[in-house]
Amino acid sequence: MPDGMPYHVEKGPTLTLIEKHLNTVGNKVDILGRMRAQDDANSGTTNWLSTAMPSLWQDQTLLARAPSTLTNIEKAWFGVGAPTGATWVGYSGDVNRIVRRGLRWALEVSLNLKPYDPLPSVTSAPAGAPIELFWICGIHWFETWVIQRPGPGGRIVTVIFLTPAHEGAVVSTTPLATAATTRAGGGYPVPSLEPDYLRVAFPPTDTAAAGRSHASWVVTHAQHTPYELLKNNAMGTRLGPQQAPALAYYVGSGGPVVVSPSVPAGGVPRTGMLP
Amino acid sequence: MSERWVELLGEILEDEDRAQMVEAAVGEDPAGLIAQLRERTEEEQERGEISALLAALAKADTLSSMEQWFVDRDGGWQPEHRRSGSLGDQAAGVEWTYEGSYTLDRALHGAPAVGQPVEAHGFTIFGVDDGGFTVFRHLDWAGLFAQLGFTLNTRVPLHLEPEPADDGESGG
Repeated sequence: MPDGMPYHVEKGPTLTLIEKHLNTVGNKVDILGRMRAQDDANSGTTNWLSTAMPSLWQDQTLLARAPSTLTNIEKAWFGVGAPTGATWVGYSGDVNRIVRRGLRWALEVSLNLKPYDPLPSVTSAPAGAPIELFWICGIHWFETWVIQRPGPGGRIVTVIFLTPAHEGAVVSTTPLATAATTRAGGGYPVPSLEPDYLRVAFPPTDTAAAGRSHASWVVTHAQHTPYELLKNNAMGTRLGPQQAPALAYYVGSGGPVVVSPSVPAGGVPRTGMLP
Repeated sequence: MSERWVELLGEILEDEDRAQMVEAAVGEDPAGLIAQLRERTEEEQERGEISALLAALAKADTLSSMEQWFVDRDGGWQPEHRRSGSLGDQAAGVEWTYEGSYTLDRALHGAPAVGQPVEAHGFTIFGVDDGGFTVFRHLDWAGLFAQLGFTLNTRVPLHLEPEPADDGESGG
């Protein structure tokens, strides 16, 4: 988030930190309890991110990387303090309530609770199923998906935020690193060689891919190029049927390549944790 | 076998022979055909209408495209006479509205058809370009796409070239 989003799918440092905070022993019940009061009341207040997870925003790693992350999320996602609302393009909705309800439900699924089940005490609460977070950008409207499946020792809960584009959002036509840093793209985020970027060779030349515990792999062409750019749809032609114009038609070439994006570019840290 | 627009023109004019004469004029005398399209009868002038041939040719040309995707609805194709007629010294144009329903499944960019009603607006110009009869179609595609539920993906693709160092298995 603070570094931008050059891929369609992101975890990156911010969601990694939130994920770590959610999964820290004792936090789930505490966070759920703080969120439930506002969510049960269907409150429109937007400060639940800070009141439900106050210590998260004091995390030294987060403060060192991007101290205004909380403010930025509240502004760009919920429209807090922004005169024209959130910065979604072509979409208006109550993202605040959707995200709050989605995270609440993920916590309840993780703790095997129904929405109004009494909370266990923080000291005796089970660890609950691990929760992982992802963000996918580029659909018509906002949805939060909570996916549960059996995992070692219980469940794994995956939360995916599916969102429209933000104002100013770009996406790289290649999944391969194009610069040393994500912020080297002249104001736009780009795939970078920063930690923990990894491109798998076929056949492999080392064991780095197998050696890491966490990754998100994108498997796609090395490059995507517009086939024909539409410039003049009213060009003179003969009488008779015409083709409907296509605004974009992309042709993939090269590869397929297998890439785990760098963490600043939205990838998953190789250990699951930020250093 | 005549082209589709000629068949449609014959149906609209209820005169296949005249439609074939227009087809011949397109190839042999485009300037003469343009002159015919610009010419109005006294009755047409009194009613404030464009020439029947101009309206019919614009309709035939439009429908030959629209029928690939839509089924006509209500009035189908209608000209706006007040903003149509002669243009410049060798052209004629028609502003029109088309109403149809998207019931031909996957006909337009593979989109599923669930019977969406559509209303298309356009302006068709007939002229002579490089000596040949030429059609310039200004169609409100954005309005049409929006009615079908298409949205713009504003995540602008940044065309980037990979780092030369990224030529195999590598990682930071």
